[in-house]
Amino acid sequence: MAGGVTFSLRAKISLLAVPVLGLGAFNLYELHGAAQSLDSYQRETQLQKVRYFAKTLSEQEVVREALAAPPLLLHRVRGELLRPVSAGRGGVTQIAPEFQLDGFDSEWRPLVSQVMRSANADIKVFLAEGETKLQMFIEVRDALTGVPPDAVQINYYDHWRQKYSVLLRLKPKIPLLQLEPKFVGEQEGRPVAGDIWSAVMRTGDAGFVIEAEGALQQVAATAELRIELISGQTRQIAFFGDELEFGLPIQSTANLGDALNDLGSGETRYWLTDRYGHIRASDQLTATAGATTTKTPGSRPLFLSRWINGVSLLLQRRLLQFTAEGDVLPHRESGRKLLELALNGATGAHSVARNNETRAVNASYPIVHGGQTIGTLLISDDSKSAFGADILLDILGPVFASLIITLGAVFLLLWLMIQTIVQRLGRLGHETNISVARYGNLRESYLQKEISTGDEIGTLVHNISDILSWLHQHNQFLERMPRTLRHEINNPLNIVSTSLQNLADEVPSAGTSKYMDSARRGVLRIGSIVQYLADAVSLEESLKSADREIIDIGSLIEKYIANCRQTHKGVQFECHVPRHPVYVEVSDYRIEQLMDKIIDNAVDFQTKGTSIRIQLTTLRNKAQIIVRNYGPKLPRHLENNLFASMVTERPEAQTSRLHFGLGLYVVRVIAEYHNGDVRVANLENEPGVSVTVSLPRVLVHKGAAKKGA
Amino acid sequence: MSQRIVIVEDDDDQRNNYKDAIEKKGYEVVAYDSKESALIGFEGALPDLVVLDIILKEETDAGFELCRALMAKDPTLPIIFLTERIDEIDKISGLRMGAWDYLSKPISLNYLTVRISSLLHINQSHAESGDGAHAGMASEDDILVGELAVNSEAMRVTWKGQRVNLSATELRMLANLIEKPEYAVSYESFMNAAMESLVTRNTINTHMHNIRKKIRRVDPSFTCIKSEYGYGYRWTSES
Repeated sequence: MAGGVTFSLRAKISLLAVPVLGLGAFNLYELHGAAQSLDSYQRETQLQKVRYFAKTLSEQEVVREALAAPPLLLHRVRGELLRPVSAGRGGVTQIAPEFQLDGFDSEWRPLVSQVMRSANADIKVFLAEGETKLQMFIEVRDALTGVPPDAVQINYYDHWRQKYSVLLRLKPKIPLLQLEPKFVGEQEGRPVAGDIWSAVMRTGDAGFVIEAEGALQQVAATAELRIELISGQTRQIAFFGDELEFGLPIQSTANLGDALNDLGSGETRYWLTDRYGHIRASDQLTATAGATTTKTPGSRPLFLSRWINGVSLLLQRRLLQFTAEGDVLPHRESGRKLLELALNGATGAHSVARNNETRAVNASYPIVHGGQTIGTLLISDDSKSAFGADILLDILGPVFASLIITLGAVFLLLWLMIQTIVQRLGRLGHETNISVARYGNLRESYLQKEISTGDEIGTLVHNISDILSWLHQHNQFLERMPRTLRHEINNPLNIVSTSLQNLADEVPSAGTSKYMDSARRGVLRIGSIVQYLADAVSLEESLKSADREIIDIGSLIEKYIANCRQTHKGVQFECHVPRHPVYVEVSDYRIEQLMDKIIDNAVDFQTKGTSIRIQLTTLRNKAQIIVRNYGPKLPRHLENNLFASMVTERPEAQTSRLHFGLGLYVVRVIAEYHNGDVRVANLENEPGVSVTVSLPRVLVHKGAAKKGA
Repeated sequence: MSQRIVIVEDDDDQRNNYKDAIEKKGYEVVAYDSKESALIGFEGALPDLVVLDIILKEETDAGFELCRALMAKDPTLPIIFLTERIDEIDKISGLRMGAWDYLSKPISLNYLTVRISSLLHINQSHAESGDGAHAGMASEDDILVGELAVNSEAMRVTWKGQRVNLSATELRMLANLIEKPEYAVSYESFMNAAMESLVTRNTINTHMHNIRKKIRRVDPSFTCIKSEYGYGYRWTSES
């Protein structure tokens, strides 16, 4: 086979993943481009909308007047626990302009308080804000007040609230007040925030009140109000809601709310601010409460639906790369930046994420009247009904997700199927390999595994099994062939031979004829051919009856080479054997037969004048007979089948002896019969060939073996 | 009165060639081409010697069956198998049945006639001397080499006084080996001694191996036949 990189079937199938994944990546890239384009379009649309609305609002007199009026002290608390009790829109109530920090609730009475109950207390909370100040009034009625019925002493410490503190904390963790009265009647709390915040605390039989005032600028746009009551060793936390929105008055007049409601779409949320950035109106109380839609999985199985939704969401985030923000309107960072832009007379639009799932597009626009910016309009649109990138992703995302999951599943199934096929083919290959021994001898005449399967592989196994069976029959035919030939040839050969002998008897002159000699030689030659073939083929069978004995192989080789010097006149032999005996368990005349074949080859192929070197070496567990001759090298094409029968590279008529390419075949069979092996290799640095026969050594005690028979 | 030889061979040419060659030596020859015709012929007086092919027409073991039938009639009848079946198992089977020799094709007619003459002579000697042929005692015609006694004419071999049953070819090879004790005898010499038209080194090795085994059956310590690897064999008195 020509050189080059080859891949296994498993590797080829794995490579299929490249175009599949490449196609998926290309599609995702295209979807990404489409989504970006739509997102850009949607932002532009949003800008057009806010521009239109801002222009509309600026043309309304009522809006202009409302924005020009000073902000009112309003409060609004957001969240379930602190939702205003009053049903009024936004819980709007005006507080008296004259605020006094005195611990009395006179200016708070018109307001609607937030009431909640904790385990030990009923708590009312009033919050209000002015241009720069934040005021709060907290009234606590707890079970710890009063004299316990079993008290035996009423003294200076007549209140069981012997030690407690009130800690107001606003995000981000700014402690505002810590009040630790030493005894009943102490009224002044200790503000911990320096002179920026001040507070007054009054206690009474049923509880206590705190009135506090501080800088609005210290408070974040959203904050958490926590009141912690510490009594004795017990720490109780009266938790007053999750979030408060400061600086977010809802509506100064009903007219602004009406104006915003007139803008239309219930899917779009609006914030109207004055020139100071204070929100003067918003539609948020009526906008999207309870408007969250729940995606129905339809008929998809739950498990698959989760996978598809998960992959789809992942795709949306990766494709649009929007920033995830909390559900804080108008999206804290985005709203602040857009507000600044609009207050400076510019416009802007952002894509942001809400609740890490849905996407919204925010935009702002200044409201200009008489050449001056009197306010801003912020809108946020998370409409899913409008055509946009979300819609595209909502539709295509699950499709792509399904496609990717399906492709992955198909590829996985395909890979598993191929894996099964590869394993089955591997088993088939293994069984085929072990069915055919080295040099083509068959060990099995049929296959057993995979034979019962009815698919294409089963058919292939059947076919291979049939081929093995035919090959087995053919081999048997070939093995029987020499005997059959011997039988079929010897009879006519005997006819010729005996006829020639009778002819020579009958016609004496014919008996001395040179033609009679030629005929006799021919008969002898044919007989030899048949005999050699039959002997070689029956060698393995006749070896089964050969007796082995433990001999010194060194002595055998020495004697053998000594005799070779007599039988091969003119050939130089070098013989090197160890001085110590090297015992092997062999049939000695079979080893002699083995040596005959090797020496015959060495003599035939040696360069005239060179010597044949025979060496016996010993390794730990084996003895090696190495025969080297100098002469032509072994052709490469013979390296793999040199030990098969009927293989020869001997030139025609090189010698007068018969050669059938059986020599090294006989050597191999005899070596293997003795649990050894034979190797033939070209000499490394000079032309010539070496034959190495390895035989297992036998460790024997002195005198327990024959000395070379 | 000439001695009568029966030849059973299904091939006409071979049968006629054998017949002609043997008749020229003065024997009376009766030839059959099948087992059935031979069995009918054997119903009368038995011949002095029988030459059998093994495969006759379609019957692959017909020769063996004839041999068994003849041995049942006369166990002393000299029988020679002359066949192309030369596997060792066939040779062993034939000799165990009581055949005196087992010759392979192609055959030298001279060798065949000499073997016939020799076996007839041996048989006649046996008849004249009672059961001497089966005794282990040496006679004055024996060649003695140490503990070995070989009588080629009587086809008798003894080692340390015990009879060793060798085939005719094995006996001839052993006789050749002990002609010059302590000297190496080459393969070529053995080939000539075998007198068969085709003898290979392997054939000689097989014969010598069988001789060793048969003598070791009566004396496991027997080591007098030494291999001269690459050359032939040597008889030595060294143990």
